[in-house]
Amino acid sequence: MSAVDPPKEQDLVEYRVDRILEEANTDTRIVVLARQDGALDTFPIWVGAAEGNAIKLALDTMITPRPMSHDLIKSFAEHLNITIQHVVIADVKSSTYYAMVHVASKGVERAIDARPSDAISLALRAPCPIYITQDVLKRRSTTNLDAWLAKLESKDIGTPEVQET
Amino acid sequence: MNFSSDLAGFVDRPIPEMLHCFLLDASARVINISSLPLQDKEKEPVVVITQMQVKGLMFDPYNNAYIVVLRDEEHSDMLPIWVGKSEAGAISMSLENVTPPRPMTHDFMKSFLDAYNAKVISVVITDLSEHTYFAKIHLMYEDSEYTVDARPSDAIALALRSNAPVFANDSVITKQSSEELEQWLENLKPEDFGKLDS
Repeated sequence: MSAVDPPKEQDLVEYRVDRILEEANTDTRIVVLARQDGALDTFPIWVGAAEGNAIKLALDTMITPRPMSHDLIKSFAEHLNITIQHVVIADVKSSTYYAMVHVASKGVERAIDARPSDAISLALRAPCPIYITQDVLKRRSTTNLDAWLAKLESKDIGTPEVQET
Repeated sequence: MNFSSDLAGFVDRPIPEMLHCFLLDASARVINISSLPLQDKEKEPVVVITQMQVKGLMFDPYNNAYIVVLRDEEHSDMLPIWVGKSEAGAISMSLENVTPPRPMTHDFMKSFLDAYNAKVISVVITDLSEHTYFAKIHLMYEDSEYTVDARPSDAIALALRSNAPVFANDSVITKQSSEELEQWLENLKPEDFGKLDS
């Protein structure tokens, strides 16, 4: 974490969570981000099943009887009067995306290192915008993604199990 | 989060005794009752809490879930808490001092609090109701204390990362032993104990 400059708007592109796909053969999920302004671009991020389910719960605005981990973080923010401003997918190294969660309290801004899954899960609950830097958008791997995603689209996962009864 | 329906009841349930929880919360940090002024004893329900050690994790083969085992320092009381696989993983990483390459959810949670110097003072397993456990996280931030409702799995995972003590309300421990869980635990074979596969 560190004190940070205000985000440079021209460097950031806003995305939204479009859907969560289930990877058939492995215990993973794919979070598909789409451009908030409607431009045709999707940005997939592979996450673990538990992380994918946490995002899915927020995406479906499911209210769980007990607070899930990211609900707890939001609750901390509310109790301590910390504002979750936005999250940024800010770097990619060795096929791993790095995110920063930007928070503010009484004019003091901080950026906290996070996995994209935690950042997105929190952004949906806050709610706050999700940005990707132009740099990451340029450097991402684009091989065959569209064809591969098209194949998967029919396997949209259903609502994750929530213990309600 | 693939629990059988049997286990589902242990984990997430609505809060039927909200008021009760709230009353417990008001005095949950009181340990030494004798230090209370007399009028406080009369006003508030007396809640005795005991510090618990996180002894480890067991796999529950019947429910395909994990059990966090808490014991008090004299090892006279035990409190088993059923948690899901990813929750167990978060606790296991702390118990085994594993540092993941990227911050896991509770590491991020701690970074979030650290960013503004908020400190976890303690966590308390406050209540067991309809097979659901309730916990409170006590925070200190800018000379004020805050109490936040949490699942025990999140509270314990955060406490381990913050070197904060874990307490259990004595009423929870008593209720627990009366539910024949101790007997069930005694019948577990050594091979049921083991490390997580994740």
